[in-house]
Formats: sequence, C-alpha cells, structure tokens
Amino acid sequence: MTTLESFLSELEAVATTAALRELRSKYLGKKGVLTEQLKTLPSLDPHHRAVFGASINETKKYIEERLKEHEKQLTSKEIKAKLSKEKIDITLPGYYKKPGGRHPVTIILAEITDIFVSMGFSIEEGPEVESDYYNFEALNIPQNHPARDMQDTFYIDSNVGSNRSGDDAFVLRTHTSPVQIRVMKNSSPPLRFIAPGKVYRCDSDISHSPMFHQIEGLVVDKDISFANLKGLLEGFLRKVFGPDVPVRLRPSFFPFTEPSAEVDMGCYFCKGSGCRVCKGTGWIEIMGAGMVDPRVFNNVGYDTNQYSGFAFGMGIERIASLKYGIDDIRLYYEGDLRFLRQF
Amino acid sequence: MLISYNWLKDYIDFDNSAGEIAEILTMSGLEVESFNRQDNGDVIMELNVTPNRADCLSVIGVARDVAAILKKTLKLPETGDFGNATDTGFKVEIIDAALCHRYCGIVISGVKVTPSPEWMRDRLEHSGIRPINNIVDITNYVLLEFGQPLHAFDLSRLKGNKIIVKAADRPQMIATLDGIERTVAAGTLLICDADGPVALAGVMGGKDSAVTETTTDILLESAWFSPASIRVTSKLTGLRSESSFRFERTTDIDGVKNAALRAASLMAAHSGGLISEVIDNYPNRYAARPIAMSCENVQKLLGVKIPEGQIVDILSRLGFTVERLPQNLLITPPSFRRDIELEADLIEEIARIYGYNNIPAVMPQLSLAINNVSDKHKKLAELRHSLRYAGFTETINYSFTSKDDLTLLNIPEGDQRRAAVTVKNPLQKDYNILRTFLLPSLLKNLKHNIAVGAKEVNIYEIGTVFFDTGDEFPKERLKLAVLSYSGKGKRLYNEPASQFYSMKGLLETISSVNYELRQSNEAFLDDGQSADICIGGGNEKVGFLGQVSAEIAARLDMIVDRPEIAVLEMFIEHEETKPMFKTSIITKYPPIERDIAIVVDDSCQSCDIINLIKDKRLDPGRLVEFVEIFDLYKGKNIPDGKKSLAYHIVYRSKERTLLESEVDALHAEIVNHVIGKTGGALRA
Ligand SMILES: [Zn+2]
Repeated sequence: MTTLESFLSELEAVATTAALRELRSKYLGKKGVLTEQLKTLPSLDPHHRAVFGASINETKKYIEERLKEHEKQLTSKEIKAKLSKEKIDITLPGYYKKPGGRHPVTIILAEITDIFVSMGFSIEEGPEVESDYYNFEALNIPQNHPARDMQDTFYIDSNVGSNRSGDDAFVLRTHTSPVQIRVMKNSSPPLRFIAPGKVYRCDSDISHSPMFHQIEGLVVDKDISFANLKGLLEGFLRKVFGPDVPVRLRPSFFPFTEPSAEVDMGCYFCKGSGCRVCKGTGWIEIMGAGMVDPRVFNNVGYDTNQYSGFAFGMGIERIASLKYGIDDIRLYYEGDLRFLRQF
Repeated sequence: MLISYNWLKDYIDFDNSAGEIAEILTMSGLEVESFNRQDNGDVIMELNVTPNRADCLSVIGVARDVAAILKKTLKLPETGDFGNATDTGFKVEIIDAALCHRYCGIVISGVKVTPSPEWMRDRLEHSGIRPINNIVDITNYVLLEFGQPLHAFDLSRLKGNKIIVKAADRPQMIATLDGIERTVAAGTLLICDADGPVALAGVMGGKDSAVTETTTDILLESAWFSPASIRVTSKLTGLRSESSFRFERTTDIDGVKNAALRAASLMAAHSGGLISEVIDNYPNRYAARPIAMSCENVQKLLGVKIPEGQIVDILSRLGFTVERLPQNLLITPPSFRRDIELEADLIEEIARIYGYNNIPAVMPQLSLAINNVSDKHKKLAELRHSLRYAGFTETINYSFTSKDDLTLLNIPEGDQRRAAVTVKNPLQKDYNILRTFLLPSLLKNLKHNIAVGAKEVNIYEIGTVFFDTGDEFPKERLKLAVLSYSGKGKRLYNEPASQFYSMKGLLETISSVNYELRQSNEAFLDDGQSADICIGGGNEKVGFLGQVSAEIAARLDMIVDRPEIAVLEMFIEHEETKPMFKTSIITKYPPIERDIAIVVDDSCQSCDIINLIKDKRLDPGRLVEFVEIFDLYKGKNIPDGKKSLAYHIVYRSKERTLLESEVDALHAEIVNHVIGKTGGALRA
C-alpha cells in the first residue's frame, strides 16, 4: 500500500476534528511519514532525488488539501450538533407586558372626536357640577316647566358650600348642553366645536346608568340651515356605522332647539326588517339635534338676524353598545377585566 | 299616552292602516313607542308626547295632526246647546284670577249613578283608566277626547251654594279622593265652598264632595289653571294625576266650555240628568299673539324652498289663522298651541308637516379654521397609550362614593379629601358624595375582579374629582390612579423588580414632569414602601405611590390572604406634552468608563451618592457625563445594617480626547469624596 492509499483509508475513518488533528501530525507533523520520507532524500542520487522529491511534495500537497476539505466538513457538522443540543422551544411565550384593554367609552369618544376634529371642530369642556342657570335656564328650560321632567336630576346639597345660593341651585349636569352656553358666552360667532364629557341622571337599570357620557356639538355661522344639520349628521353616522347606513330625522322636542329632531339610523342588527333591539321598527334612535332656538341665542347675546346654527348630542355608551352588542349598561362601570380586556 | 286607532276614526274618514297611521304619527313628531293589536281588531298605540305638545294629550288633538297630514276634515262631536237652562242661584267666584283664568261650572240635576255603557268602559280601559261609574267615567272620557280635565262634585255636599277659587293663605288640611288627609302649603290653589277646600285645584278632588252611588245633583267643573301653579302643587303633594299632567302642560282655554258641554250632554244621555245651569266665569280672557313670518326665513332656516301657498295651507290645516301682509305673513296660533311663540316655532310646524324626509341633506359650507384642540387632549391620549402598553386596563367608575370609603382608608378629619361635595338625592346611601380621590373605586374594581377569579389585576382610571372649597362651584380636578395586584399564581418568567419600583418606573415612563419623591405619611400605605409625588422642588404634593398597608388590605375583605397591592394616584393638570427645546451636541470624542463599589449605611440614599459623584466642585470641566447605579447588594460579606452600592461613571470631554491618567486622577478624587461624605468604604 502506498503512503497515499494508507492516508486515504485512514482519513475515511476520521469522525472528529481531534482525530483529524492526529492524522495530520501522523503524516505531516515533525515526525510524520512524509517528513521522514523527505529526510531520506539527501542519500539519493541527484536524478532520483529530484523525481522522488517532486513526488513527495505532490503527495504532501494533495494530503493537505484533503485534510482541509475534511476539516471543513467536520467543523460544520460539529457546529450543527452543538447547536441542536442548545435548541430552544420557540413556541414558549415571549417576555413582554401584555397590553391592557381600552375602555369602550374611550374608544368611541376618540373615534367621534377624530371625525369632528378632522372637520375643523374644536374640543370644549365644562364642569360636571353645574348651576341651574347653565344646565336649565339658559337652555330655555325654566323652573316649573314640564321639560324639567325629561331628565331626572341629581341636586347638590346646598348646606355644604357656604356661598352656594338657594335650594337646588346646583346640579350634576344632566347633559353636555351647558357647554354650549359657556362657549357662546365667551366667544363670538362663527364657531364650531364638540364637548365630550360625563353627565348624570337619577336613574339606574339595565339600560340606564346614573352616570354616562355624551358628546355635544354646536355649529354657529351665517346661513346654517336644517339641511346642513341633516348633511353633517348623515355624513358622521355613515363614517361611524358604514357608508350604506340609512339615516332619518323626525320631529321631536328639545327646549333649546327649534326645529328639533330625533335622529334614527337603520337598525344595525336586522338591517331594517325589525327585531328586538329596534322594537320591530327597523330604526334605532341614535341622537338628538336641532336648530339653535333663538331664545338661546338671545340668552348669550348672539344676533339672530345674522347668525343661525345647529346643535346635536349623543350618548357614547349607546353608540358603543350598538357597535359591540353590549346589552347591559352596567358592564361599563364594573371594571371587570373579562369585559374590558376584549377591547 | 295610549291612543286607539278605532277611536281616531270617530273624527276623520280615512282608510289608512294602523301601521300607516303609526308611521305618520312617528314622522310628524308623535313617536309611536309601542303598537298592540287588540282582540276586537283595534290597535292601541303608545305615543311619546313631548312636553311642548300639550294639545296632543287627547284623541282629538292627535286626530287634528293626522287630518292635517292626510288633508282631511276633522269631525268634532256634538256638544248640545243648553241656552234655556234656568238660574239655580249657584255662584262661582274666582279670587285668584292669575292662577285660574277661567272656570266653567255646569249644574246637572236628577242624575242616576250607574255603570257606564260598555263601549265607554272599553275605551277607558284601553286608555289605561279604570272605569268607576257613569258620571266619573264621562269626565274621564271627555278628558281623553278633548284633553280638558273635568271634575264632578256632589252638589249636595257643597256648602253655601257656591264655589270659590283661591290660593291657600296658610297651610290647610284637605282629605283627598284617595282617602289621605293632607296638609297643603300656603299658596296652593284650592277649590273651596263656603266652608273650606273641596278640591286641590287641577290635581285631585276632595273625598267629602265626591260623587257616590247616592248622588243625584252634580256640579261639573271645567277650568283653566296656571300650569306652574299646578306643577308646584303636584310636586309638593307628590300627587300626579291625568288632570295635573295636562294642566301643568297647559290646556286649551278656549275649549273649556266646549268640553264641559260635551260632558254634560253625555251625562244627560247616559245618566238621565237635566242641565240646570251653565256658569262660565272667564275673567282672564286669552288673546293669542300674532307672529310675523317671512317665507324667505323659512327657506333660510330649513334650507329648502317651500312655496308660500303650501306654507299657508299647512298652517291653516293645523288651525292657525294666516293673514297675508305685503312684506310677510301674520300668523295667529290657535288657543291650544300656546307653545308657538316665535317664527322658529312656526317653521318647525311647517317642517314637520312638510316632512323632515323631504328636506335635502347638504353639507354646510364653512370656512377653514384652525381648531384649538388643546395639548391636554393629546397628553391624555398619550397617557392612555403608555398605560395600555405598560399592561394596564382602563376602567371608568361612577363619580359617586360615600364617607365610609374615606374612613375605610383612614383618611383623617381635616384632610382635603374630606371636603367632599354632597349629593342631595343620591340613588343609594353609599353614593351620597362625589369622589375626592379615585383609589377607593379601583379597590372596588380589584375586589370584583378577584371575586370572579382574576389572578392579576392591572388597572387605571382617569377621572374628575370634586372638592367643596366653599366657593359657588366646587373645584373640579383631573386625576390619574393606577393599581397593580399580582396574586400568588405561578408564572413562567419572574418580574425583575418589586412592586414599589415597578410603580415608580411606571411614573417615570408615563410622566413628562420631573417629580421628586418624598417620604409619605398616607395612612393607608405601607410605611416602608410609600412615597409622596411632589413638584416645585418637593414643596407641592400632587400624589402618592406605594404599597397598600397590610392593615388596609386585610380590611378590604377579599378572598385572598394579605393581598399585595401597589397603587399610584396623582393630579395630572401639570402633565403636558414636551415643550419646544433645542437638541444638545453629540460629541465625537471617546468616553472613558470607571466603576465604583462602596459599602455604606443602610440609611444612605442612592440619589445622595449620585449627587456626590456629580459634585461640580470636584469636576469643574464637567467631565462626568453620566452616572448610573448598577448594583445593590446586602447579605454575605456585607456587615449588618450596611449595603453595597455600585455605580458606573462615564467620563467624556466635548472638546478633546481625555487621557487615561487625568481620568484616573479625577476618579480617585471622586471616590475619596464619596467615601469621606458617606463614611463608607470601598467594597473589597
Ligand atoms: Zn332591528
């Protein structure tokens, strides 16, 4: 067997990089087979020396190449083996804080606010404890008027605030409409704004909560008409509930608008054929609206010959309930994570 | 109000189905809230009559609207003519004509009190009124028909042959029909005979003068009372009746006598009575005020052109008198439409009969404007976003709470949170004040969630709190409260920090303000693990954070033992979006880093050491760029009462490359400084 043949057969058996290192030194090391062979060269005659020398060098070169090649294969094999030992379970959960749930009221408020802000509406606010004047009188709801029965009112105890004048002079606001008065008294037309916030009614059952959220809207300018109110509300409701939703306005009564309208949209659930939610009518009451009553403009000192305007208001929980199919309003205020984490 | 489809047909000839009539009513302002088919083929509809439409609290009132829309004539019932009635000597005297503008009394003699005919009893029952006897039933029937409340007195029980209408000059006693003895306040409008009150005007009759089975002669009352007066009586006595409901919304003063005559003729027909006298005392005659209206304004307000002919037609059919003037129209509302005062009121009438559906929808043409959406709204949205991605779920709780919640959390007397605003008529006892802080609500949310099996509860609320400052309006402020509870459940990865530091970290994450934390003495927090959140150099406390004390946690009566609850609550008005600022230069010179590990007393605070390291007197060239703590160690090899703290310091110049030797010198100086000031020692 030649040197080369025995090397090749030994190489075949090498399975680790360590064994490969041994094989290398056996053939190419200081006392390796080929090194020993080279040492015999000086004793040969010049002709043989040249031939034999060239042959040894060629063999050496070949062996080196094969060793290199084999080492490469072994290394990659060993890395693979090592890696597979350290392999992790990629299906375990990542380490992170699971995001919390958003409150559905906040989601709807933000959605509605965005729509109106995109149309150049400002956002205004007012206090939640209101005076009788802003909550009722200035909105054309006088004392001892049956319109007061439309809203069950929470009154603030007058014994507490020493400077609070008179009985029942302060209330938890029953609607966001007093913000209309506050803004109009402080700025001149034209104006357009929305006023989101909490409101309170002395009422509690599966569909009434003593506290809920409303958004009020007001536009005052020259040449604002009922047709404009219709146009804006239709556009708004179609943005929130889909481009095909039918919208209708029908006559109603709010002391601070004239003409007044109740705004209905086609029932979200039965698509108009009649169901439990819409009480078989195919329509769902979604908001109240109307042209600002001239009595209100007079109360804030706006010139009714020059300006007209419209106002609208809607309950946020009502819209959220329709959108998410929530049938018990109390769910909004229990803080139950099983409910809230769905949002 | 309940209304019968068949009854409507008494006054209009139409062949529209009940469904079509319901649609017409709903779309003209009388919303049909329910629709019930009866065995007899009739349909009973429940109408939502808005407070302005007092005229529609009757079958004829509703029929009038339907007739106007269907363009039909309204057929009114026969009322009879009793011109030849004799003078019985009965007198009606109105003393307070401001409260009683008209009083019509009809004396009917020789009646026989029996049950009324079946058709009448049926109609009453379907309208929600219990039949009693023919006399009382007829008064109720005409009330439903015309909307005019009527009352029948037993004439023999009225002393002195007269009626006096006057306001009580002092609190007075009266036994009402329902058998209750009531004392009514001075100022209450009363119907009296020669001896005293026999009825609470417009609200309820008296027991003693009521019609009974033995009654033979009656006085039928039909009057117009001031709405506000009746409303006050009804509110003060807590009595609401079909009569008071209509009077406080206003009745048709010009229909007072007509309704009385209609009832009298029915009584003559169904009780055998004889109309003996018709008295009509009308001291305060009603004159409707004409309203000028221009068709141009109708178009301007509605955004649609309705021809003048059509406008005149609509108003006429609704009972308005229209006079054409050269410039505009002069419209006089009928006596049953006192709600119509202004041009805008007339335009609504036109619009609702014209049909809201026939008005086009047109987007308003508005000029562009910069809206003033404040930074506050942006900041709140940002805050909610940060809290959400820190794992917290938003809750919204009622603004109501009770003093018990303050006591439960050991809030001392005199604390600002005790200055709560009280609700006069709370829904329930434990909702009788408005919140001054949010934590009690979050603790309730926690309790609820643990009760339904939650192992981890991370929640927050942003809400208004109310303080009674003695000023007219309470002070309203916006607060944020956060609660974090982690039960003993097993979990895959461990949280790296304690609850206190997690909560502090949350504050640092969400906040735009540099808060200072000070030792807190909140009575509901754990002494050792709590802090007040302060601004203004530590002078103004704006909130607190920490762990709820074991004592309070035990009081919360939750199903878990010793729950560990971290909380944070603070005012957020001073939070704002990042103000305008200039960036600082990023230097190109390399840093040199050194560490220091020092053993100090347990009481030594980390921030003190950082301040020593940053002491500018040692480092006039401001070479210390950055310092951070990277290790805190107590235990083996560290004596009791001591701890080891390790800091990482980055040295860098903005102008040049630092030499190792100069940093070594500065670092040695800093180390000595820290050791000297803290009395600590380098960690071996
Ligand atoms: Zn439906």
